[in-house]
Amino acid sequence: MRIAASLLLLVSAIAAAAPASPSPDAAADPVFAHPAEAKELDALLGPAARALAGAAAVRGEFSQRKSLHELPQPLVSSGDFLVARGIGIDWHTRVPFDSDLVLTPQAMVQRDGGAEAMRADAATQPGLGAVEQVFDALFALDTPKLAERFTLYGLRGKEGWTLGLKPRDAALAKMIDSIVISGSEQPQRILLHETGGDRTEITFTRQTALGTLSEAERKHFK
Amino acid sequence: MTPAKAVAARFWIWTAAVALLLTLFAVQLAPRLQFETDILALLPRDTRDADAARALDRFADQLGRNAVFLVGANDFATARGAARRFADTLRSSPAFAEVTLEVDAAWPEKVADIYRPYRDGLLSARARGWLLGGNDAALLAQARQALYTPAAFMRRSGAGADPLNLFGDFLADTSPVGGNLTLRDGVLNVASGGADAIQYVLVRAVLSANAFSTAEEDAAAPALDAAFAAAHAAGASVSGSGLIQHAVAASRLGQHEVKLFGSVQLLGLVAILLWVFRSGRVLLLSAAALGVGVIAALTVCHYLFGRVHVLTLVFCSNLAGIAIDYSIYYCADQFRTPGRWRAADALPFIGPAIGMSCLVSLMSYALLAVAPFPGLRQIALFCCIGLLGAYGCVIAWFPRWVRPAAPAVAERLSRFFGRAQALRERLVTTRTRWFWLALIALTAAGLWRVQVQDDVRVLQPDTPQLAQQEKEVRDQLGDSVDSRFFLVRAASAEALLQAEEQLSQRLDSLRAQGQLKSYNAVSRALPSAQRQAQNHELLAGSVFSDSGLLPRFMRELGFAPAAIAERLAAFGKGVAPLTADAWLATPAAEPYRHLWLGDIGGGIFASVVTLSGAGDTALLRTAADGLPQVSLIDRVANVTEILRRYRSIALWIVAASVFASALLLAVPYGLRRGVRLMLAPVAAVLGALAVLGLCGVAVTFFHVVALHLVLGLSMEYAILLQLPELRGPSTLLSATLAALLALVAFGLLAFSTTPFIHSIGLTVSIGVLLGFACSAALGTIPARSRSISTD
Repeated sequence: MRIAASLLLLVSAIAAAAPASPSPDAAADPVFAHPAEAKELDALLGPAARALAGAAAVRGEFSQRKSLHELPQPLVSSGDFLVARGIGIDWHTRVPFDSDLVLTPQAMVQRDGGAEAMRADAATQPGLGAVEQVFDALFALDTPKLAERFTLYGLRGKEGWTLGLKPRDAALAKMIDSIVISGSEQPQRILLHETGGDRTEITFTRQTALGTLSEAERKHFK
Repeated sequence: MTPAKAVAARFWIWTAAVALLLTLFAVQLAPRLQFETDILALLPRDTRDADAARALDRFADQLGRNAVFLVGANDFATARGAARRFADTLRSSPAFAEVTLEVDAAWPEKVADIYRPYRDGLLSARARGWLLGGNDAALLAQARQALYTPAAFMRRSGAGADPLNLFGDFLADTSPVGGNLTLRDGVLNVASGGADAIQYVLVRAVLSANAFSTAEEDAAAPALDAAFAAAHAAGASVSGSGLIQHAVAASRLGQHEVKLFGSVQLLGLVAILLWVFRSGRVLLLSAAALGVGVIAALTVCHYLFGRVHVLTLVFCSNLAGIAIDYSIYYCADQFRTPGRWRAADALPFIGPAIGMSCLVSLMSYALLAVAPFPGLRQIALFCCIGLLGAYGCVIAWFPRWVRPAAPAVAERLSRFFGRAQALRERLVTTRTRWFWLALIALTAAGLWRVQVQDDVRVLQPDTPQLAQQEKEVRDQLGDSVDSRFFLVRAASAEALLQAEEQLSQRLDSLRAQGQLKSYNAVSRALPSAQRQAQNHELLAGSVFSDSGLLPRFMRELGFAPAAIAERLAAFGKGVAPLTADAWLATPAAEPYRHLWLGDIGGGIFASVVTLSGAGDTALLRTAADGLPQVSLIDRVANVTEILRRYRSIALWIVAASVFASALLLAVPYGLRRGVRLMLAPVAAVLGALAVLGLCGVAVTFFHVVALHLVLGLSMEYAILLQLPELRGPSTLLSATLAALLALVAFGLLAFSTTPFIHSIGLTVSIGVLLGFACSAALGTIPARSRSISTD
């Protein structure tokens, strides 16, 4: 029975090839001294969360810096993104190369100039669902959804708020040590500490909450 | 030897034989009598290809052991808690060898470790395609995507050790299909869509033995019940998919029906016998005759078939319905000469008719066994032996042991049936030609409307609740394995893998055309040695060479030349390819083990390639064209084809039976009367078919088998009612009682929830009514038959 026998493998996506030693400063952020319930966080995040929570989609630009301990230099990239709630994530890298990646719960598709260049079904990319769900909730600041998989922390500073996430799930914890999101009117930065000491920093600009998706955008996720 | 001495000799010989049989049964059989409940075991094997049959048996056995359950609740925590209790309950039963709820988080790393030494010969299908096609851009795009984008969270190898993610892509490729499930809190979770989504948690269970061995079911059924109850108590619902639930349901239904029908029939039998004969002795003797028949039948079936099918037991009731007739014929003879009758008197008078009737039934069952249909053969043999046993008891014991009923009872019954006899003759002689013509026209119309059906569904008990569960599981998991699959056979494990790879190539193009959603093959996780060598060559040429893709990409990522040189030097340090034996011994083979049938004997290795979301069968067949090692197996179509073939064979057997019986009857009674005696049975068969046609019931193989029984039963009534030398109240009584009891037996079967038992019960009930009516009507048609009989 294929379904059953193979399910074990799903974990693979999340646990990936996690390096062995945990990072020393992974949870150093002061936010982790302030555990919070999803409800309290809503108050803390204020208008930022409310605007995003009601949106059908969030569009914006990102710049990303990944520091991987196995690589000699950080990977720096930038581009734009579109997170369509419950539909999928479009991650369009423009620099240093042009690559449009669409993640939906069903498939991972790479587009070149609008045309489909490569497609992998959820069937062959186990864990796609989990990754898509986490990113979807993360970018939309969906605190109840995040609370399903993470323990939440929150802190209000002078310039804005900070939200801390620690995975509750063992498999997720094998990969992610913690996530820190900070912002004021809107989330501005996501800092992802991986268990092996790798870290990914994503900075957002020009975010817009969209009430509906256009037909063209919808089609993009097909 | 005088008749009296002959009677005595028969009595003692038979008694000794029965004593021997009972001893054998009690000592040898009773402790280890086993019943088969697999309905498919009734079907004939495809004898053209014994290897394939062996391989398929093994696959079906492995498949049948697996079950999947979705424990669902409104929130995840409840579902998870309930799933834990469900799993724990199953675990506590020895019937389940393995119950999985929590997923081992370290598993993917273990798999990566297993493959790592062989990585220089491993490539995913798509990476191999890119390298073969010189499509560097696509390969690099994939590598960048796996480094820069959120897809990085899905990569399965380290960025430093495998910058191009070639090994990681292979590992992802070996991960079998996961459907809609995602990992959450260490368990596998899927949520139904919609506003009030239900959260499901998956539990997987593997049985210790074949789902269809009753012993297993007896052990598994209470564990399943308890597990379902535990989950319900924890506030969740459970849907299951797997053979075990069907096996349990079928077995319970079978046992329930055997018990219910058996006891209702027994009550009817006791009531009728007591009412007619007012004698506990007759009742006891009849029961003894039946008992001896059934025990003899069980014994012979056990030795010949190993296991007695539970449906054969359901047929016990029909055996009883026929075998009891001999007792009745014998005992009813007393009403021929009420008050003056002695038990031994009956033998010369009614003995030959009973013998003839038994012979005709035996022949009709024996013909049933001609069809190479294991289920029918067993049922036929069971009935033949049972009838012989009962016949022996009647002939040997009854002349000595039966006592006539009280004269008053005999008088009353005799008068009653005398009047009935007169009424019958009056009714039949006042018939009008128009009535008969209308009847014939109606029959013709019914026959015209007869439709046939050979669908496999006629075999399965109707269990809507289980079907609903299966559907729910399928819908939620979003992945269902097709009933069609490929069987691959070759002379060695290596040749087998190579054949699979050839097949995979064609299946990949079917996938690209959208004719196939996915397939699962061992060679995906275990490339042939040939393929590994090819991969190694490819990698050496275009990836790990000095100007290859790897140094180019490593430079792009900023690696120092020394690090690049080190990585290039590490390539291909002479590790032998991964072999089937080595792979099978690792946990990496776990998800594929059910597909690998291995050495199936005779130096043949076999494996199965399963399909999901496949289109047209003809298209699939073309995928196997020119690959002699590959055959497409379509189990549903196979069963349908078998049922279709045997439906037509069975029809011919019915026709042959008509002629053979006419000839058999011609020996004692002459050809003319032989043919006349067959009129009523043939009318009953045609009439039953016509009724089915008029009611819009599609005729299956099993209806035809039932027609065969109708023929046999109707011949008995014809012999009793149409032979002038037997005419009289006593034979009318015999025939009436026989028909009544057959009606009780088969009428009960018509209430069975197993479609084909229902079909048989319904058809025989209709046929018995018609056969009895026709025999009664034809029995008094005067003129020629009577003049012949007086010769």
